[in-house]
Amino acid sequence: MSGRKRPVYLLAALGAVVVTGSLGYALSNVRKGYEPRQPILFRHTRMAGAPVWQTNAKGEKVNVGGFGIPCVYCHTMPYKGRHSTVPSTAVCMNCHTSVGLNKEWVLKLKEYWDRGEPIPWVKVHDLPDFVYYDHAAHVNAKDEQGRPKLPLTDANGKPMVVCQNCHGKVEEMEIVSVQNAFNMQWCLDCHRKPEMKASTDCVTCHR
Amino acid sequence: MNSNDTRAMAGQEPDASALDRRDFLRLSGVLAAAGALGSAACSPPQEATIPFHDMPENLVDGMGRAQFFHTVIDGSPVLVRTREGRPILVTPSPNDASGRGLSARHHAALMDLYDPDRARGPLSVRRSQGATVASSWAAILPDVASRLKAAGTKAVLLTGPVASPAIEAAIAALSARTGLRHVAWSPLENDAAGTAWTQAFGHARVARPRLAEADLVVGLGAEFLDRPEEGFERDFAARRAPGQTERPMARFVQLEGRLTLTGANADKRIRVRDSQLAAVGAALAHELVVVRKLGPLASVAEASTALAPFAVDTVAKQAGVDAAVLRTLAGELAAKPGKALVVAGGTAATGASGAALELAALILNVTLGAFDAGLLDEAAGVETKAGGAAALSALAGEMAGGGVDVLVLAGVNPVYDAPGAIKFSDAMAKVRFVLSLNDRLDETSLLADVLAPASHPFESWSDAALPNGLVAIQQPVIQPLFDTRGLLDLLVEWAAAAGDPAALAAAGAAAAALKVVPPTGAATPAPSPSVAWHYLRAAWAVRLASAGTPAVETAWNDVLRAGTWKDGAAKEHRSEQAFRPALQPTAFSLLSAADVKPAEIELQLYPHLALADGRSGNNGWLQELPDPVTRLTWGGALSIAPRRFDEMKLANGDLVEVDAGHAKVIAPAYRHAGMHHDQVALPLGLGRAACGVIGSGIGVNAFPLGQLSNGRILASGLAVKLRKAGGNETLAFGQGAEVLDREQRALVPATTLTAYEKDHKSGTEQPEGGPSAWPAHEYSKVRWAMAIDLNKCNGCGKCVIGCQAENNIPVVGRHGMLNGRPMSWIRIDRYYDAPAREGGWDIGVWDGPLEVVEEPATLFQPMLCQHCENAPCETVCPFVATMHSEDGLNQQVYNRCVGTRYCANNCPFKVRRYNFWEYSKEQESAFMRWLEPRIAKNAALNVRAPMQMKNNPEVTVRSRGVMEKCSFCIQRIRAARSDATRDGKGKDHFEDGAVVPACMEACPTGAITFGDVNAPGSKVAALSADPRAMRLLDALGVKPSISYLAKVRNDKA
Repeated sequence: MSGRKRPVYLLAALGAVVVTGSLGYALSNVRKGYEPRQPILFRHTRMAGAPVWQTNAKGEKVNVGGFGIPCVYCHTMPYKGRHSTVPSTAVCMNCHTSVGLNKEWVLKLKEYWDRGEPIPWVKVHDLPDFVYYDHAAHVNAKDEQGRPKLPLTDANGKPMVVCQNCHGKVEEMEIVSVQNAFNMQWCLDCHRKPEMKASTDCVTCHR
Repeated sequence: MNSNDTRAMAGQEPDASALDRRDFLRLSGVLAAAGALGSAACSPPQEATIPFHDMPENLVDGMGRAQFFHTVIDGSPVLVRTREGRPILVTPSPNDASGRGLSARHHAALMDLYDPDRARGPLSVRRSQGATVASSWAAILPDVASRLKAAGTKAVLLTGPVASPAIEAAIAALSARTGLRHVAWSPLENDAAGTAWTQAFGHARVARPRLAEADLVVGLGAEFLDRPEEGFERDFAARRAPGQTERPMARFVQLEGRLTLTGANADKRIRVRDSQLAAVGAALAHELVVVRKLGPLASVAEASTALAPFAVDTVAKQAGVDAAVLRTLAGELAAKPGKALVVAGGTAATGASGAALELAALILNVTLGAFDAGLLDEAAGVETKAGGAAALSALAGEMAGGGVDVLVLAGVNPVYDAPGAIKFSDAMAKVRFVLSLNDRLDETSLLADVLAPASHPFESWSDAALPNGLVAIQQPVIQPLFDTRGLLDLLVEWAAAAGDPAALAAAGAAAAALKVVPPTGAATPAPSPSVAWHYLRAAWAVRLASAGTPAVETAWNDVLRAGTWKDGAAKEHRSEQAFRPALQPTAFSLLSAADVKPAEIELQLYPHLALADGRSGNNGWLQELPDPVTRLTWGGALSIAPRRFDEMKLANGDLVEVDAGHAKVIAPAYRHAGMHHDQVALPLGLGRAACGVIGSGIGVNAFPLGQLSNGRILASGLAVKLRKAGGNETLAFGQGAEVLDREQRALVPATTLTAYEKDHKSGTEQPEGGPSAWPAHEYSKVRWAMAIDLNKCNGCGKCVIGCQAENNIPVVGRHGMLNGRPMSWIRIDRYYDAPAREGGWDIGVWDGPLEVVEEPATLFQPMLCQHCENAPCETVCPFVATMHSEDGLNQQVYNRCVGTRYCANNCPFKVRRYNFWEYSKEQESAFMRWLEPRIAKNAALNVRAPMQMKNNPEVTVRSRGVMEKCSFCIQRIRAARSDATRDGKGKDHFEDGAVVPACMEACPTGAITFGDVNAPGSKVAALSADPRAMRLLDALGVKPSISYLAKVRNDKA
């Protein structure tokens, strides 16, 4: 600028920072798409995915897909309490004391087990500490007719587990990633639906 | 060069609005950078979620949920709520038949467990001649064992009163093997009743008054509400309901010198100084037995002779009481034979005339037929153990003479609380080896050779003998936090080292358990059950087998699950004599002690209601709990009668020297309403010199003033001189003004029984509010409400501690209380009711005029967030952080709150609490800590490890700048809703008991009722509709959700 004070430029710059910053913040979402690397490359596709049978070179039928293990085999608590729980290493060792010990990550798992150290999983669906989410209240929620409030069929009409409403198709994920926004707006989108009859009181989640 | 330069060169005016290319590029560069900055998506902080390595089987459903364990603290069964392996709440044990109660100490035991000032491990103390040196159990255990062996009978174990059969057995085993002697004593020992009973009936099994069965209770210095652990609160409250036909409201008349919590709950109170209580009791007996010739003792010559000196007029003159009042009282008693009960047993019984006082009460009870009518329960009686002070005195003498080689102290602190005459610290210096098993470097441990800290009861196995023939197992609820060992563990180890077979078996089994190889790959093996566990199991196997129960394994678990076990084998203690008591004629000679010439001023030393003998001096919750009567926190005061206080021209806090002759202390003075003019009082349990950072130096140690006489510690009726010492120490009150004129300030509904019977709504009158500017909230489904029965509330304050434990409420410290910034969400307001007076009073609430406070009528009112329908706080929050919920709660959303504090300003009940300071974490900046010393003080009170383990994970821990208040235990409401959903039940209504807030859980009398007022048939709906119910401040139109049921005083003599 040619030496003259141009406060309008400074103001414009500040305004631009504020506007772009706010828009950026509002339109961005820190959670959707979050796909943290875990200490053990556990593949839900292999555990929970649908079986895919193939014939191998020797002519044997092998399952190259998943074992179809239901979510609740490992994550036992969502129907019972506030937290869903990541299973203890002992649950993995139910099979892996003898199965798959030639695989890299299974050996890594066994190392943790032998060391007596719990596995420090990275929390994927992490809500802020001031949100007190209650799994049991959601997965058990039923309307007056006794039908579950959360749909049990997906967009294509295929049956699905209630968990997939929010967590997406975890059995198709190599690495677990967040499928939805998981911000308050997204929660309210459902809570505000009249047919859900869900409370929108603040203390429902923010005690 | 820009376009304007070009224009200048061309001789044209510069274009002020032109933006040339370079400027544009500069600007867009800035914009781009700004845009990148602003829209950069931050990645979320990585949070770990760490599961179990190998989850214990029985925790399958326990993740994120509470687990409950029965255990025993200080002889009272409790139920402890734990989360993730650590206790977070102590609650009364449901279905407990022992008749014991809980005091604030029991509820606050958590803070004792998580006390950072506990010793972390064994220390070599070397009698405070230099720094302590860490030691180890491996070194100490065998060393002590060999010393005990060598010392033989010159070794003494000094403990508090032992109520555990297992510990008794272990000590007996040790004594049998090594000659160790055991001395048990308590600084608060009160054996007057035992003495009187031994003289009267030949045994010391003092019968237990059944307060729920009596229509009239007369207390001679009774303190049954001041000692809630004795379990009388529920019985007392059971007869406080007015308007019942089956069990009409009882009347309680108290004669006492200092206004106690018990006296504050009396229908009528007569001031009698401690030393004269025995004489007054004898006078009442004289009136009944000698004058009116009532009861079986009228024909007993010894009785009449012994009672002769105590004619009502004589005694009234000496005691300074109105003779007519005494005669009327005697008449009241005579009118209710078989329905009247006389209770003594308070601090007054620790005086020189204590046994005479108890005997007078006995005589009255016999005369009134209380025994025959079953008002005194001998089966529930407790064998009182006496002689502790005498034994301690003898021991000290022996020690001073060099007759004790090894002294082991466990759970006692005689350097702090023994009477000065015993000179215990000097005697200790002459003992060759002193081992302290206390939990910290307290006053006594500092003068010991070795401190081998014993675990907290929450961390160790033991058992307890309870009244009513019950026995309970004390099971640990957490692994020892530090390197400590349980007391029973230590005793068994030493008994094993000395060769006792049972102890050896236990030690062997524990050692074998350590060697068990865990399955491959499993985590480090769980610590083996302790030595004490094996010892207990063996003892209980015998006990359970003898009662015919099958497998010990299941029976043991059944006892743990139930909490207590009825010892069917225990013989019923009934003796013919006790139930048709004929007082042994020789007993009456005790009465002569009742004839006491009163000193000019007498001193009473009473146990501090929260701190008792002072062992929990470092407990912030107990220090901060306002005394129900004096409202003092963080220290006590010398209580002086209002008239004498005014005559001495004192102000609250002025330092006064109390000289008892053998000792003197300087304490701040307090104008204690209802105190007898010639009596003063000091609380015991304060003035700890070395209990930790929190409690050391708080208050004044009054134990040295106790007088040793004939093997008893006299703690009342002590002749003292008062002298103003100059200076003032501000008293930290938990409340402001004292006197309430209900005409002007209808804050507490209260009435008399006569008025109530004429009009059930009596006492609930208040100025009416007008129409509301706001439309009413509509509740089609659940609506939460609370009802507080002021007749049942005795002001004990356990609701305050329960709330503090449940809701992670910080401790603000003395400086916080002095600033008038308490953080407790519920408080007990104590008012003195200004009687109606012609012309009214000048103002509505103020500090006491003599005519009110000399003999006050006390009102207690628990005050908490009223969850108003038209809450003044909701309308003024600029950030909508507080608003009404669909089910009637006033919500406080911490993450929206910015800290304007407008809501607290608007609240007429002043129940909102603001976090002026950071109570939840350390201040990392050293500069800030230097700048504001209170930051470090707050951290010392709340943040040091392992204190944060007490936090309830279901409740937010608030940071600085956030407003908080009672939430009606929203976490429990949410849990109930979640459980209802999980169980497939509708959530439209909740039945009684579905949600119990922490205050209601802690309340021993059921004064607090909470529930869904829209649920048909709910208790809270019935109580809210009761004519006694009043919702406060109708004039402001706030429409609280809490109904207070009027306090009805029984004025029908």
